[in-house]
Amino acid sequence: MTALALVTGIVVACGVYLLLQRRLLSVILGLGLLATGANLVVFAAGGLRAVPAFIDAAGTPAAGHADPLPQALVLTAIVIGFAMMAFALALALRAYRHLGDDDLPSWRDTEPPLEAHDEHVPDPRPEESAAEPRRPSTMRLPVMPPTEDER
Amino acid sequence: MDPLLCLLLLPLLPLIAAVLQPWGGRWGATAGVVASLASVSCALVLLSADQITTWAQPWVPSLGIELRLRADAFALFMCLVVSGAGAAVTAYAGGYFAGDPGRPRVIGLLLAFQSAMLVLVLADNLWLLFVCWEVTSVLSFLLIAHDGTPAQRTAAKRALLITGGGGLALMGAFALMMAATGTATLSEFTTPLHDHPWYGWILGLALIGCATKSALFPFHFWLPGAMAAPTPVSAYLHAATMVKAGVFLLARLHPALGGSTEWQLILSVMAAFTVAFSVAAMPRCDDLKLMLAYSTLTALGIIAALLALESEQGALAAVVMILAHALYKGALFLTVGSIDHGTGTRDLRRLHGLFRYMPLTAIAGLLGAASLAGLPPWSGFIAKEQAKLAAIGVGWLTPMTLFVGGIGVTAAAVCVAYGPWHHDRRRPALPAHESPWSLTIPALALALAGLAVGLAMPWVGEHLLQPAAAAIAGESVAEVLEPFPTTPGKIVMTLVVLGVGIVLALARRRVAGWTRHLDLRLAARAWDAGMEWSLAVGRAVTRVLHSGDLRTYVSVALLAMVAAAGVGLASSQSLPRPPVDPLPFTSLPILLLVAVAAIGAASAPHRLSAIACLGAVGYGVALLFVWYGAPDLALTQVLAETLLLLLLVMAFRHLPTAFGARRDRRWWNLGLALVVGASVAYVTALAKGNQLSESIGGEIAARSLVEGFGRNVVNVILVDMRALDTLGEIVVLAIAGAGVAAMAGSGTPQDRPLARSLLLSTSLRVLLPLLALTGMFFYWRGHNAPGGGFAGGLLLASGIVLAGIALGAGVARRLLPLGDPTKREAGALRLAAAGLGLAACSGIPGMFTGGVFLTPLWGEFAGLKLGTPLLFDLGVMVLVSGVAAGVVLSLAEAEPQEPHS
Repeated sequence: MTALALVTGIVVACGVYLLLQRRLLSVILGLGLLATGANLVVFAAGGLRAVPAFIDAAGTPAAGHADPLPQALVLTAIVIGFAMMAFALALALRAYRHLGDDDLPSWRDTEPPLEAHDEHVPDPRPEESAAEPRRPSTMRLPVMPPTEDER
Repeated sequence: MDPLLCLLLLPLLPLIAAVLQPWGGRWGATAGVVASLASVSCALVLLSADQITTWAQPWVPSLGIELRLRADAFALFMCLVVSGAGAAVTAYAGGYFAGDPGRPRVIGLLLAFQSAMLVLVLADNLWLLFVCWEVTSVLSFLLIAHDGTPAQRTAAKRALLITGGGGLALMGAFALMMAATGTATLSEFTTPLHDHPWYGWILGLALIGCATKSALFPFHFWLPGAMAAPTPVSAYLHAATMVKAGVFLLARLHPALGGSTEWQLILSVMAAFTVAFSVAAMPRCDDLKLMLAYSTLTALGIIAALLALESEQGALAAVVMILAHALYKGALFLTVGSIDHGTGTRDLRRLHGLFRYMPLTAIAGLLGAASLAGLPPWSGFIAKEQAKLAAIGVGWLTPMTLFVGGIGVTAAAVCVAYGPWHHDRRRPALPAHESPWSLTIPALALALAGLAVGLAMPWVGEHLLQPAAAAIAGESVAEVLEPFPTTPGKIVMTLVVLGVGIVLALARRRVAGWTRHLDLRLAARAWDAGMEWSLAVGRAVTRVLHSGDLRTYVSVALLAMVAAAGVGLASSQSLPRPPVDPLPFTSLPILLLVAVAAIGAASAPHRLSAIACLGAVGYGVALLFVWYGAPDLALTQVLAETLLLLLLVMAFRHLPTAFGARRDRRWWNLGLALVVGASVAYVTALAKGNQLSESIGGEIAARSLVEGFGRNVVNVILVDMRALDTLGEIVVLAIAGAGVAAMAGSGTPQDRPLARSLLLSTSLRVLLPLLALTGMFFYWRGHNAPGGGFAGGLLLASGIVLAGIALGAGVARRLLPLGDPTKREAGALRLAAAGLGLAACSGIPGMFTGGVFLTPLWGEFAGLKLGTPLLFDLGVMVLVSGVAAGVVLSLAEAEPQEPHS
């Protein structure tokens, strides 16, 4: 039990270490290790017994059987982990094709720079320019231009 | 007509007209006017009924939320104001927005607003009232920003934030009131709550809510800003109706919250500040509309001051004031809109001599101004006289407030009446023209109504105003005054106020000079500074957290996780020691293998060795599963790991070969990894010994054969007892499969084998049927022995993948059932969809036997025990095989293509 917990910790630590690397490949491998580590946490948290949870010929559960509930959770988690890895790989390939670099810090430029929002144009005070847009006396109102451009 | 039907139609008719606006075309406004007038007649029918009509319908009974309407005299009075002004403004808007493509929208919003406002005044349940309160805030936001100019957007945002924040405060007050009394029905709040320990909180929060809505000090500043809105919107929301919601609620809540010194003191001080501020600001306005907005503030302050008195006379005066103000201020706003439309300006310094160009508008304006100035026999005069009567002998603050306010609005009335209509020979005439009928008639109607109400006063007072005031004050009230001054003293008083008002209006520039050191926009600036400060804080936090670097995000998330575990441990008395069990020597080699392989994966210098190490971890974990009584997991793990390795190898073909750690942040990464690993290990070791409750695993195992007819407990859980969970999980699988197909789907079908091997392609003839049979066999025995749909599906998929490697992905795709040779992805995705459909449909038959979705059905067929869970498992197998084969083949076909930079 304690030994398994220790090994779980090692798997998770290695996964985290890989996840923090700059290389795309390392990050994906780290994700895989983390998924395995998470499965181990759930599995170990349910307690460990050597006897599988099966009903014997007499119709009663085997004596001292393992807890089946965490096992059921982990079983679907394994398959979902596989699908998640496939998704991450497809995403990584796509991103690499578009960005041409597998160095993650260089992807920083793909997000819009925060500075674009920083150029803070003070809003006009409505008290000072309370006028609503002129409605020409013919009452033919021009369609308002896109408002974002006005800033 | 049936009163109950009237009560329901009253708010419903404007809503129906609002919904019909998109198809209304040029008749939209007419429909709105008809609906509003119909609402008015509904209110009149209800008013003539002998008793109070109520209607209730449960909405969320467990929370005390009810659709409960109660049409007492005060509510019906407000309905008349709302729908009457609504009819005029809707007609006006029809002409004002002619040619504007947004006309149906703005008229629809105005009518929807009218409906919400009607429910608000009729509501007899706190939460129904609250919902309508918020709806009016949101509609106000949409209406202010109708044209979307920057000034309108700022004003709309400010109004929404303030009234929305006030709405939150009001929600707190309502929740406390409900907790304190156990009821949410407004009419049941008849006893004062002063002695309740929460009274201070309830009063404070309720006052904040009412003050924000009615623009009372210190939340007064949003109302002048909201004048950026189109004029019909200002006329309706910011003069006639919405700003009255706050004082309306004050009147409604006063039986429960009033009667205390705090109520009277806080409210009258707020009212006094509002009036003082607005009167000081008015002379500095050159914009006619802005001046009217400040005089609205004065009126709201006066109404609040009258309600603070809590006398019968005060209630009556407030009711008369609400009616008179709605009529004359609505008319004046509409007039200003016409002036703006006819001349292109609202600036008092430029306007003059418009009488001869726009006589009808001028008459409406002059009638409205006379009422605003409080001349007999207009309704404004009666409101002023009632207020004076109520203010006799109530200390000095309220009389002062009323006096200052009276002078202020009189001065404003003189400006409004004189400014645009007088003729100034020295200045050139402005180009102007009279507005169309659709603009002049509504303004005239409101202005004439203000006069008519005054002339018909004893009668209107008896049938409408006195009952309404009695509904507020809770007892019968004195009669409404005559529309003429009856004593010499009153005549003198009226003349004095009028005279001072005229003098002030003529000396407007000079008076404005006196107050030039007064910073009128202090509150607005403080608010804006607060908003900008919060935005700056948001930007600063974002700059730190949102760095664009994955490592930052991962670090923050992991540190938060460790911190959460640390807080949990720190809050326990002593640091728990994990139970130490004897070292399991037999499983030690497997554990060592997993640990060493994991470290190898983290430190491998080449990518292939890293993948190999990852595989070793996976297979080692599978061995652990075997060792610790989980054969199903072991089977699934081995199959999934094998496919995963294939996936990695195929994907890595397209990525750069360079591998290995780069040496930046090395110690940070190592430290964080060790901290996270250590805390996970510690928590895992503690977990078994610290369960909150006994595991239900034993119970499930005991019932597995009896109720689920399966000997493999894990499989029974998956396909029967927790089948809904499994259904959710296979939906996730299907989504992931579709996502991979979409992202990797740039390649073309390839019939070129990935690995040319005669041995493999020959043995495939035997291997492929064998794998397919084994997969089906896994599925079939899964309910009673290790196996099941997940393992079976993975095995089927590995057969397809093997064929893809030996013969080419295109060939493998053609092996899939349901395939379509023209569409590359179709086969695998269709297979997944079919599996999902099968699994979901297997849950339906059980519903016909009275159970819920996914209730199992079992039966004996030729000695075989068959049931819907087996169908469910079959669906799982088909889906898993489709998704797993699809993702591997997709990545196998991905073009080995150079990045384009």
